Formats: sequence, structure tokens, C-alpha cells
Amino acid sequence: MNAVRRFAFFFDSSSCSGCKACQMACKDKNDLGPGVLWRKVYEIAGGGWHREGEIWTPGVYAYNISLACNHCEDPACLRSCPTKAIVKGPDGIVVLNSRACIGCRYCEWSCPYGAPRYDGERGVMGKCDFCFDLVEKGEKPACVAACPMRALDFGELEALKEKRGGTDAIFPLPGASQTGPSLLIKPHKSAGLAGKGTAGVANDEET
Amino acid sequence: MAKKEWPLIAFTLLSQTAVGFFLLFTVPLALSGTGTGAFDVRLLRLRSLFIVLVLLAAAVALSFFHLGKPFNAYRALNNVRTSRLSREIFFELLVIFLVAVVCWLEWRRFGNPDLLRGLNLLAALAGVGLIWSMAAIYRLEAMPVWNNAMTPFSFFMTTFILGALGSAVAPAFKLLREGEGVPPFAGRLPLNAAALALLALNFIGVALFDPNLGIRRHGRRGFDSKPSRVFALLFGLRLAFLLTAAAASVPSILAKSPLTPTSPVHHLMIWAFVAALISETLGRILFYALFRKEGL
Repeated sequence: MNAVRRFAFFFDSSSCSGCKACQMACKDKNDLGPGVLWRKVYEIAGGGWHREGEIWTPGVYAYNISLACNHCEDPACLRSCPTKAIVKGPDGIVVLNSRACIGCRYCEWSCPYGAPRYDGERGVMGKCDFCFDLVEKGEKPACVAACPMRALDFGELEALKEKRGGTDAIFPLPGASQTGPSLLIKPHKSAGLAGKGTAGVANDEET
Repeated sequence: MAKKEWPLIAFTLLSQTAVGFFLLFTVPLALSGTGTGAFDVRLLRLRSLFIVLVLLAAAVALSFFHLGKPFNAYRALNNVRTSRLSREIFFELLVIFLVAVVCWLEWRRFGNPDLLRGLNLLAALAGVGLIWSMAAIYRLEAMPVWNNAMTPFSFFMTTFILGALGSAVAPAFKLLREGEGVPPFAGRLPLNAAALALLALNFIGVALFDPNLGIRRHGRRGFDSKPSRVFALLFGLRLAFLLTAAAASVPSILAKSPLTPTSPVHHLMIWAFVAALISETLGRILFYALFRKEGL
């Protein structure tokens, strides 16, 4: 990998069926225990029924967001880690060295996306490492390879932008200006509506 | 609120009480000279320094229960340049080191008074730095519920209220044995009046601006639009205990002479300290229960 590359994920929210194959592939590849998710699928739901005169019309909507570490340009987790256990490589991939981690969970607080997750069994944090071992061999990250809808993709950020387009912010993700995520999302048609209404994460218990 | 936050509640409250007590009891004693009256000021300083050290050591010991890998804790100072958590730990250790040095010098009767005064002031500055860095940890852009002025306000309020009331009740905890006289600062009108003023200020601040339940709470995204009844009850109890603490400290201001460890008014001050401690503990429970990211 050369020094100017910056890897990114692409996610097509309009194609995602919420099957969570990406989530399970990630768990399988990284041997994660129960309750530990490095990639999470959020179900965003909102809307309701609207009355116009005597007629009620449905305005309910739902869509999914599959989210892992976004390997940000200015990672909040890296800045906040007291032990320097989190480092960023020349390829833009943010990696957590669990041997140096003290399990204080401050990176989990700092990350706007909640990407670093605590592994209670090992007492340390863990996070998506972009399956760099696979990427180095020219393969796809496990989550990308597992997606049956081809809603996930990855690649070098600029090339991915040209190929797939997309935005780096969608409701209810925090503002991209906070950390500069390496993430491109093709929004679901209801995402704009969700930002204006009372939508929220409908599967909090799962994530 | 998750169980994992209990060590943090204990760590913050103990550290803040220790720093408050040091700032309002030990440092004024150190700056007041060699002492007057029937009691030994050096002995009083030593005892107060020992209390501060015990509180800070207990805070550090309890904080280990928050860590998943406590044996890696020695690495926590690796990132003082950018990590606010590293800075907090740095200040905590600096305060402990400076207070321990002062304690040792006092005990061995080493050092001239100017050096001791200087070290006390340095430790006081480090103490303020500790409270500031502690509040800074929670000023995270990702956590709007914590990232507001109420976080440093509440941390400094805890420090000064528990410090002032702790100083007022210190003689009752045998800092001075009966018959040794009255310390020059503890239990006297200015400190008790300051404690009452701080309690009133804290009551107003919390009632008006608590991020989740205050009258003028924030209406921004990320805040709880309908706080649970349990939280509302705890919040009401917090305010009630603050009022109790304030009411219990009023007689100490009306008392004409400095308080002695055996006076009934002094016993009321102990109740004021206990009520304030309960209120601040409830406040800290509510603070950690606010944990909520913006958006997700």
C-alpha cells in the first residue's frame, strides 16, 4: 500500500435489506463474542398516519444503515486514547492494538459513531480494522464480501467517490465535520424525510 | 446507568472532596503561619494532609475497578499531548505527589516555611488543574448532554461545597481532639457563609440548567425529551438534600462564636455535610445516566 491511499467504505442504504449478513461475517472473521459487534446494522424508522379530511394516508418509512469504524481523517478515538493503543496507518486504516489497551472505554465515548466496542471477556476494546490482512492479499473485507445485496463496497476514497458517488452524512449520523469519516453513503429515499421528523433508531437493543 | 460507572462516581467524588478540602482547609492553614492559640497547627496540617492523601489514594484505587486491564494502567500517561484522560491522570498523580512531599516535609520538620507555602500553592494549582481536566474529559463533541457548561460547573461546585462543609466539620472527625482549641479557619463564619452561598448557587444552577431535568434544559437533539420518572424522582431528591444541607448550615452563621467540636450547631454542620454528599452523589448518578450519543 502506498502512502497517499485512504481506504473507505461505501454503503447503499437504498439497497440494504437489513439481513445483517455483514454483521455476522464480521463477527465470524474476527471471532467476536456474544454482544460484541464491530459492524452494526441500525434500523431507522419513523413517520405515521396522516389525516386529510376523512381520509387517513400512511406515511411510515424505515431504512437501514450498516456502520462500522469509518477510519476517519481525524479520529476522535485516536486523540482520546490515553495509552496510544490506537494508531493510524499510512493507508488511512485506524487500528487498535489491544495489547496496549487498558479497557477504559474512553474511545467508545469519544467516537461519534460508537465504533470501538468493549470486549468484556478480554477486558479490552476492539474495532474494525478494515480486514487489512485480506485487503493486503487483494481480497475484500469480510462484510463487503458477505453482502448479498451488494450494498457494501470498499476502495480508495477518491476512486470510490468517482465510481459510486454518495454523501458522508445521513440521518441520524452525526455531522461529518466532527472527524471526517472515510464513508460514502447512497441515501435511502426517506432519509431526507427522517431528518425532519420524529424518526429514530428502532433496534437499540440489537446495537 | 450502567454498573461500570460506579467506580467513576466514587473516583470523581473522592478526588473532588479531597481537592476541595485541601484548597479550603489545608492551604489556608499553611498560609496562616506557624499558628496561634492552644493547639499545634503543624499537627493539624499533618492530619489534614493525611486525610487528603487517603481520599486521593482511595479515589485512584477505586478507579482501577473501571478498567478492563488494570495491569496495563501504567501506560495511561502515554498520550498527555492529546488525550484528556491522560491529562487527568497526570494531574491526579501530580497532586498526590506534591501533597505527599509536603506531608513528608511537615512530618520530618524539613523545609523552611516559604518552601512549604510554595509547595502548598503549587499543589493547590495542580488541584484546580485536576478538577478542570476532569471536567474536560466529558466535553466531547459526540456527547452533547455532557458537552456544556454544566459539567465544569457541577464538578467545581462539588469540589467547593464538600471542601467547605468538610472543613467546617473537620474538628468533629478528631482532626482536633477536644480541649486542643479551635482551628483558625475551620468552623468559622466566612467558611460557613461561603458553604451556604455555594449550596444556594448550586441549587439555582441545577434547578435551572440541569441538561436533562432543569427548568431551562437544553432542547437540542440528543437530549431526553421525556426523562423517566425514576430520574425525575432522583432529581427531586437531589434538590431536597441540597436544601437540607443549606438549612442545616444556617445556624452556624447565626452562631456568634466560632464553633467547637462539641457544640450542637457543629453537629448540624455534620448533617449538612452528609446531606450535601448524598445530593452530589445523586447528581453524579444522574450525570452518568445521561450517557447518550448524538444521533445514534
